[in-house]
Amino acid sequence: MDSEFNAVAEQLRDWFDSVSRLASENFFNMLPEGPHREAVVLDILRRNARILAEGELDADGKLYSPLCYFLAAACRKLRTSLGVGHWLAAVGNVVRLGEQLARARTESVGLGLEVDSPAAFFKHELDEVINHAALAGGVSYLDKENREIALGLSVNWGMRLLLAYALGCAGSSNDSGRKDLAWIGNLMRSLVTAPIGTP
Amino acid sequence: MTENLAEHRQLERRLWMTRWMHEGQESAEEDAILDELEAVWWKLSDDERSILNEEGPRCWPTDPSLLPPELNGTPYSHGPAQWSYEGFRSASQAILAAGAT
Repeated sequence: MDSEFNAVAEQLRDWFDSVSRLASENFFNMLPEGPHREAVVLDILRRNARILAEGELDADGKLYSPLCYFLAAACRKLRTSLGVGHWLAAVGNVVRLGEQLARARTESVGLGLEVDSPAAFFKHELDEVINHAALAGGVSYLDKENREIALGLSVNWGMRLLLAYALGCAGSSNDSGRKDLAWIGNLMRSLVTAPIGTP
Repeated sequence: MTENLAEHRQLERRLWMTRWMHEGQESAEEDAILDELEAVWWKLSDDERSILNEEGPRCWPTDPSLLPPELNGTPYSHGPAQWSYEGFRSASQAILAAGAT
């Protein structure tokens, strides 16, 4: 089981390296190294944070691109990359939470209570941290160090949201070779045993 | 929250961030923070230590069973702050000129 999780984490690491490279070559590096480039990174970060904070979960994958660009810009701002360890933790977290919520959903039916999907849970956490750090605009009362920690937390939650969101969106036969949201969903579905709620 | 507990919370957040940046691997920064945490631990009251012991660690970003630290209770800046463009010394410098590197 561990080797399956590791294999998925490695594929996600390689996939996100491609996303980061695309974002760097086509957006971040449009301007010379220095404050102008940093300003572009910050603009892309804030624009996509705003789209995510205002956006609703759907089954069509409309949040996929903003989420990817948000993660790429946040990592660029933090000057870090996402390694296998990051993805392994995120995959484990999403699978475990999915199983917990599936059990809770079975029990809650008898009580007439609604239980959020994993994607809704992680979206809520991401929205909170975006709001706390004023990533989508407005002002924050956090000091600079804690705004950076908030940015790290936003990547943490954003990765989990991406994986849970992919699980809740429509799958595909994936014979096109595209590594998109449906591909991530298929990767994740190979690890889950319990049905995951839709977004 | 007492000053010592607030300091402990801030060190927890810093430790989480450091471990997250290093994918859970040990680092020199982590060692320094752990030393600071130990020093602060001895300044906490028994009640504060009980709270932290019951709560368990929040500093392991690569353990899926543990939650990250909360931002509630962070020390605030002296006033509201925004993410701002950095590195520009003047407005004119913000206008890229031909030949800029």
